[in-house]
Amino acid sequence: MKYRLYSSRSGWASRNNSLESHLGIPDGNGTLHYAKISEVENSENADFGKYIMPVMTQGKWKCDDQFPSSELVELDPDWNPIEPPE
Amino acid sequence: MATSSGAGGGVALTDELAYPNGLWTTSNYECSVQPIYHFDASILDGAAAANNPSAGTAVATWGNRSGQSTDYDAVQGTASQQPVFQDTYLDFDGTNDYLFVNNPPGLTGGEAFTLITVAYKDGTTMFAPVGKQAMINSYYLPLNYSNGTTYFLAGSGSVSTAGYGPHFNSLQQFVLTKDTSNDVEYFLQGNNSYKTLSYGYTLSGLFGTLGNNGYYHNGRIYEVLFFNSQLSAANLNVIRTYLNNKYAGLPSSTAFS
Repeated sequence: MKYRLYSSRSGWASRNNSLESHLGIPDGNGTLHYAKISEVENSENADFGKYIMPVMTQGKWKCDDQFPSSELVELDPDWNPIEPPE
Repeated sequence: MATSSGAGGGVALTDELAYPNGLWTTSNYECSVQPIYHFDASILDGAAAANNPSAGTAVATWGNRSGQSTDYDAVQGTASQQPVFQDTYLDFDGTNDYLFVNNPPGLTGGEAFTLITVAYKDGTTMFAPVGKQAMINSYYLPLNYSNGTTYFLAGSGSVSTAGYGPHFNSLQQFVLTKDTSNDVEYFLQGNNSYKTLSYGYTLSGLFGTLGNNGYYHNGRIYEVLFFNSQLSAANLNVIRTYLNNKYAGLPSSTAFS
């Protein structure tokens, strides 16, 4: 999995729609969406406020070929760091 | 002896788990109680192994094979969050993969339950095969325990130090039971009790996700059984031996008594 960050919600949604069209989603077999929108919530992260698009790099939903490789980034665990359960 | 050409999933049909109203009602492993749900990756749609997709397929639905009339199938309608079928297990990426259980069972107060899981944890981060719906990052974790100790994190006090592990990067058999007095007990590889506590919460959807308990499971889930009662030692041993027979990679286990 790689990721593409978008500055606007509308930009994210537009790309999600185009990926769904490309991948044939909904597929009639229970897959209804390509991705769900999420945001970089760590205010100390340089990407704070950007919208995160997961980009599948293998399997049925592979679509990294739909992006210039220079736009794709690795997961940054600091986007939304988790705390261990208490 | 017949094998997996029919409904079975890679073990002899006579070695499949049988229970009332299940895919099998007689076998070498007969449990007298019908599970609420039973997810078996080797029978992905909950009906027949012959219907299984090819390895590597993204999973939108993991069918419940318990035979309950209520729909307890586990589903994920978002492509990028679907785990991957790998013949005998579902692989969860630890980033965002998980499934919702339809009509998720929970606790309305005082009920007993039994939760049995066969899973394989990649690495040493979160172990989260079963969790609450809606998801919360809290201590209401069916396969973790609370009170400040995160059991399935490396570095915490762990069962591996008690000789029953290691529980990372290997196949493991977990059992969690609760009685009607709110006494909870955790077991690993059969009757190796490693934690007891009192748990009296009322929580809807407590057993409502697979692969997420507020944190994403990174690794494999082979099989999950949930009962709305505390199983007897006899029934626990039926399931324990069924699992040990089915999964050659499981460590040997200790009989419940």
